[in-house]
Amino acid sequence: MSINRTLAQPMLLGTLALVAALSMSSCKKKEGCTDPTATNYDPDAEKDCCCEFPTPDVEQTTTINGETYYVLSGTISSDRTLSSDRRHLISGGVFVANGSTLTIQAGARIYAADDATTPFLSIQRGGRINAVGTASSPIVFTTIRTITGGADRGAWGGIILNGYAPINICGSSDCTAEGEGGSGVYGGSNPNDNSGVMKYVRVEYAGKILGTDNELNGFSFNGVGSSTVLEHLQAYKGSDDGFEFFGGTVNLKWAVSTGNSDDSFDWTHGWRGKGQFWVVQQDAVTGDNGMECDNWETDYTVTPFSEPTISNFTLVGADDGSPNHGMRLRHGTKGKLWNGLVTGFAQGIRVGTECDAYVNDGSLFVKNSAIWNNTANFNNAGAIETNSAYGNTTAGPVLNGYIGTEAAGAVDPSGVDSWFSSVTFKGAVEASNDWTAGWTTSL
Amino acid sequence: MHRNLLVLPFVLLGLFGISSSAQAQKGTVAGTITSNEGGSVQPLPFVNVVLKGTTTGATTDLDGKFSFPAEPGTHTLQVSFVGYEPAERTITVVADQRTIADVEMKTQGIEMAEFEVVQVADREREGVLVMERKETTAMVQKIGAQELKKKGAGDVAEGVQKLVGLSTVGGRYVVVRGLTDRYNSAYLNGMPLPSPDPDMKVAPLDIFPTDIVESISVTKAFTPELYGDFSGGAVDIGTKRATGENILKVSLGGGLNTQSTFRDHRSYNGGGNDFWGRDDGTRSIPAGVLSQGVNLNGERLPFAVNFNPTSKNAAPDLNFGIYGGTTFKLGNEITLNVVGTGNYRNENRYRNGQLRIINTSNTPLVDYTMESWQFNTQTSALGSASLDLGKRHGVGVTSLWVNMSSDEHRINYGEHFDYQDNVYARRYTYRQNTMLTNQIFGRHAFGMQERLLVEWSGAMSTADAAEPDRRQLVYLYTPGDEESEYRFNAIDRLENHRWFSALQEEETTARAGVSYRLLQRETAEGFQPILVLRTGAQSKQKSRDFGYDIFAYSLQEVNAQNPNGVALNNPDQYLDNEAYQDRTLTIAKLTGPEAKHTIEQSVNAAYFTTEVDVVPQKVKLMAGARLEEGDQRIIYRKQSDSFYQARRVARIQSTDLLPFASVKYDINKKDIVRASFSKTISRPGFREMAPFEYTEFFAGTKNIGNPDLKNGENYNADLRFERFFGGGELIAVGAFGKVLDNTIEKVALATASGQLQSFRNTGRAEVYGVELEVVKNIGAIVGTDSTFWNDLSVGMNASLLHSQLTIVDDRTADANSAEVVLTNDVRPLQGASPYLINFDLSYSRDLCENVKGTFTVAYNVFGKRVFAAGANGLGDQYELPVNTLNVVARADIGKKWQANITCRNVLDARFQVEQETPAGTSLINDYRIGPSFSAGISYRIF
Repeated sequence: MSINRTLAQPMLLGTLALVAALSMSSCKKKEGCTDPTATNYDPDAEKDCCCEFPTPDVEQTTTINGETYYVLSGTISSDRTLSSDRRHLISGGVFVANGSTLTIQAGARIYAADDATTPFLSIQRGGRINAVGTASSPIVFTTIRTITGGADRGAWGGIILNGYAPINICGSSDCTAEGEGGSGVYGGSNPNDNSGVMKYVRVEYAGKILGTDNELNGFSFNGVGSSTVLEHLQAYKGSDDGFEFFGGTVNLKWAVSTGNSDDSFDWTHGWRGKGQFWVVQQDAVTGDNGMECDNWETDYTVTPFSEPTISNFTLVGADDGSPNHGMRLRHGTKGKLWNGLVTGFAQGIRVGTECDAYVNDGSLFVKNSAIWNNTANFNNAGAIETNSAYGNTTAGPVLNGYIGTEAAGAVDPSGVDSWFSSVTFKGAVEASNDWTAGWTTSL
Repeated sequence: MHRNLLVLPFVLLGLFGISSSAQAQKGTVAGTITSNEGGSVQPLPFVNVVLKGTTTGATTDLDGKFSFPAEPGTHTLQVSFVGYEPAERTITVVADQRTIADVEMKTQGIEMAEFEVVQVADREREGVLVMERKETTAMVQKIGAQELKKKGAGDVAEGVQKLVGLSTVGGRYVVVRGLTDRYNSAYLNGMPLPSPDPDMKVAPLDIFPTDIVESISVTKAFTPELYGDFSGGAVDIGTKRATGENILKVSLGGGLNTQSTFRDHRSYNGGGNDFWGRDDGTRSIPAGVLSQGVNLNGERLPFAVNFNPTSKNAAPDLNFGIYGGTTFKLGNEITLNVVGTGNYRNENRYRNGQLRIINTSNTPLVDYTMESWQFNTQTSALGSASLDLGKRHGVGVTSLWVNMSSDEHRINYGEHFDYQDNVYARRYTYRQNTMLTNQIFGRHAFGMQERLLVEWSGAMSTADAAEPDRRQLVYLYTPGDEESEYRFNAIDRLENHRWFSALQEEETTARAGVSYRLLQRETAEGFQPILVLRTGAQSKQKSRDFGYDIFAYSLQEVNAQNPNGVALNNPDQYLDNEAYQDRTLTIAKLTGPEAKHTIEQSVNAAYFTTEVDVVPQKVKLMAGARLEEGDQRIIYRKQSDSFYQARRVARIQSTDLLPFASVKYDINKKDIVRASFSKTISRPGFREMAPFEYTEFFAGTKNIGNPDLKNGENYNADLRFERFFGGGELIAVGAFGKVLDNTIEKVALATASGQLQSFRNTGRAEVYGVELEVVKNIGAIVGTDSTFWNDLSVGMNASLLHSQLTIVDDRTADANSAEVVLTNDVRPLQGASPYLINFDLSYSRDLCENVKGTFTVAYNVFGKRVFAAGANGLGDQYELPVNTLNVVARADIGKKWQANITCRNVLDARFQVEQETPAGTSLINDYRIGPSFSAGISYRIF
């Protein structure tokens, strides 16, 4: 026994030493920073030295065409103000955390970097934006390529508000969902949630495509609650939708969607807000639907239903023969719309057969509107086309671009809900009161 | 004396024949069974020797010797062993005397056909493997090269499907007892095997041709020498080993597939070495491109103009190989055995089918027709050398290189709900996976009676998976459009692209183990262990670097300049240097922050087991534990991150104590009962913990990893009864049960966009089942001496399995996460079939002088299994049963030539995935791969 034991011990030690020796994959050690959280981390380095770490308290800057830009990236987790006397550059997703408010001064210009990241501004649930511009000093979000040249659609991901208001895609009363492109979680059970205020804000060249079915819009309102204030917003030349509502209860007044290559306004997942004075102007290059209105494509009957109330909209198609729609009402949406002007599309109003029941029972309608000069004014629109009491016509006014209204046959929406401004015309922009002047960009 | 240690188990076996020493009136039959292979006479162990018409007999030991008592008189001695021609000798037994009967057995033609390995403990043979299985304390199942060939298995993935309870996903990834990739592990010669597929833990087993395999073993019950990260099965591929004889063999074969060969085969302009599965640089990112910044601004178009489809006639499949081995005697008891093999095979394959995404109204949201043309190659080289320094010491090295390429031209066309027009997507994908592993191992025995045994091994491996220059163009069209009237889908900028990705993995593993017989008893037959202690340490260090670059072609201007449409089959005219220089075509490098990540894993373990002969030769108890320390981290950025931000690190550190106990009870010399209990873990897959989003294929579901994953914990119990009849025949019945806690499950999340899947520790699963396994000669079953029936043997195994997974949405743990929207909270495990049946019938006989024919029919079916979990009110997706029938005919002509004809997938099975909705059931995936026929010959030069 003792002989064996004396033999065993060195052997065991020897083999363990062998294990250790073999565990070392290499003998030569490359010097570099081995801490992955450092800015100069070198994955190939084996001997640690000289790590540099980002200093969150110091604002990062970069110089483009001789101008200094203040870089925004990552999460903003305390109140912060973006001043109008600086140029701001967004690189990657910028998140405003729960409990924090991002204030943006009137006239501030915020640029999206052209650095292969997916820049966007995302207000997380519980966070707020306070971006109040004026007609003469709007707040403008655009791509840095308006400075460096070659600005085009799809340069960045736009503005995303995430709220605690209900959405309908889980089958639960407090459904939460993941936004497009990792832009944050949204949804909850508070229809009165407040994500802040945006007035006179323009978003240009947004709509980053992240893959089929996965695009960031100009403005994405994800489960945003009704205490949020949205007025005078323009989405200009985005490669996806101009404005998209994913559920929620938020209202939107005075909105312009110009030259967006997918849908100009899009709602889905149970949006139940209100809208007034909406303008769609498509351009000849692209453009899908003026309004694309869904409950949910995967399950048409989930609740709460998409069921907004909208008055005074002007949808002007490019009239270029592309297979688009003024209004595409489908996948189980409900909704009440008055005082619209729809012209210049392949199809004016098209209703999916899955929504026939709602057209029949009156929970989905378009009334007091002019649908004219479309290749086909109606497709499966049922009562919207045939019920004369709805007051829809296939003749309309002469428009100057999107400017122009028609008084005849219009109703005052303030009778429906006091949120609406009291007007009695069809369309969004009166020639005598061009509220889009000064702060919007036209094609 | 010490030699008895090695042969001890076999001596024990031999003892079964000696029922009592007090049989004075009996005589003894003894002798040596040998085989003669090419003039080299070798002892043949494990051979069944019986007196005809009695149960009196024995099994030969490692030296081919047997001995048993017998009644005096004249008997017919029957000697049988799988792979050999049965032999009979008339002997006369005299009381109290020893009758010597030495028999030299002849191999059956089927063996000669292989010209391989006829040697002591040749693990290619079924019979030997069955004997090993009988002896081992662990629950291991093996299949040898001989059986693999016989059943028409061309690669290891096809091979493991012949074992009870095993199936594969897509003919590549092993499923053991309904447990998929996560619960399995792969070894090569007992050392961990890296996977060249970034999404899978276990290497796709179809990359190993059976030509390099000596045997495949699957351990379904944990023992502490194995890495703890498994619950289903550990697959160990044993590569060919030198056998002591000189051999050189070449082979050549060809084949065809009914729906591919000699038909139109679409491709594109690739590289010059594509035949060999090695890109010649054609697909590399051109020099200088990466330094141009996001928007390419060089003077000339840096990329080749090669988006045009090409068409040709598909050539027949081709394969060839060479195998050689030799032994050098370097001195007294010192031998060097060397073996090498090289193999190449290719195939052209076409398939078409439907790909659908449906909603709860059973209306397709996406309804594509898919057509795919593939050219696949597989090249492997294996070299192995072992140095035996007497009986006590041996060292060896093995190197294996495998290269696999797949070159695909795929189109998807049809309706997508989000587009007014129809979609036509054409993608060229070239994948090249290469694996190199270098192993070194040794074995040393020390002390009196060799009671101390030391085994060690080490391996360094690399695995590369490259997808260079994937090209995709997506068009929009209206049904009825001419080929010249398509439009590019220019809206979605990423859809028209070139993609380059590369993954490099390095792995170093080491192991040392000691086995010591603390207590032993000396008997007349030698030393028997009473108490054996085993201990050892293992280490695995692994790193992976992944990165991609994507170049998006912006084609809005091309569309604008071609208002009447673009030519579907001649896109190059719009994508050339001229278009680039006049800015009709612009290209952007859209490689995001998420494009690169590094993963590091370190696992260190120590184990200890003890084996006690509680009741000598009856009850053996083995118990022990493994202490495993794991540390894995991923260094990454999210898609929404900025390059200004630091990289993120997600890390899982764990220390687990994994206990194990098993008992083996030899009821009698034929019947054995085993039971085993263990705890194991499931580590999250590398990608599963990486929180960046990726899509599996065009229009596929998006996946995002979860850095908060923890290890899952598995509790396993096994019970098994086996009856061994000798000669490789057996019947086995088993039952098992598992509880998988904190299972990591793929879940669907509520999302704004399309479909999104992630991974959560949300499940608890229970799996239990029964298994039946029969290997029998029909003659023995029917009880006849008829030659026909005795030439016929049947193998059958079946398993019934119940699995139930319960998903708990633990949003409460993290309120700031998306809700799990799986439709069913309770369902079978993904990939688990309620039943699995493997059946084979083999008939083997002399057709004429010097020509031996073997005819095998192998059938395999799995029950309807969950393909993917349904979400958002849609039912789970089920893959429907697939009936696979392979027929193999082989002829051995003389001693040098062998020919075979193999028909795979004779039934032309349909692969279908269906999904239930409240409004009815739809097929969402439906295709056939067509039957394949191949023929080959091999010639043994010496």
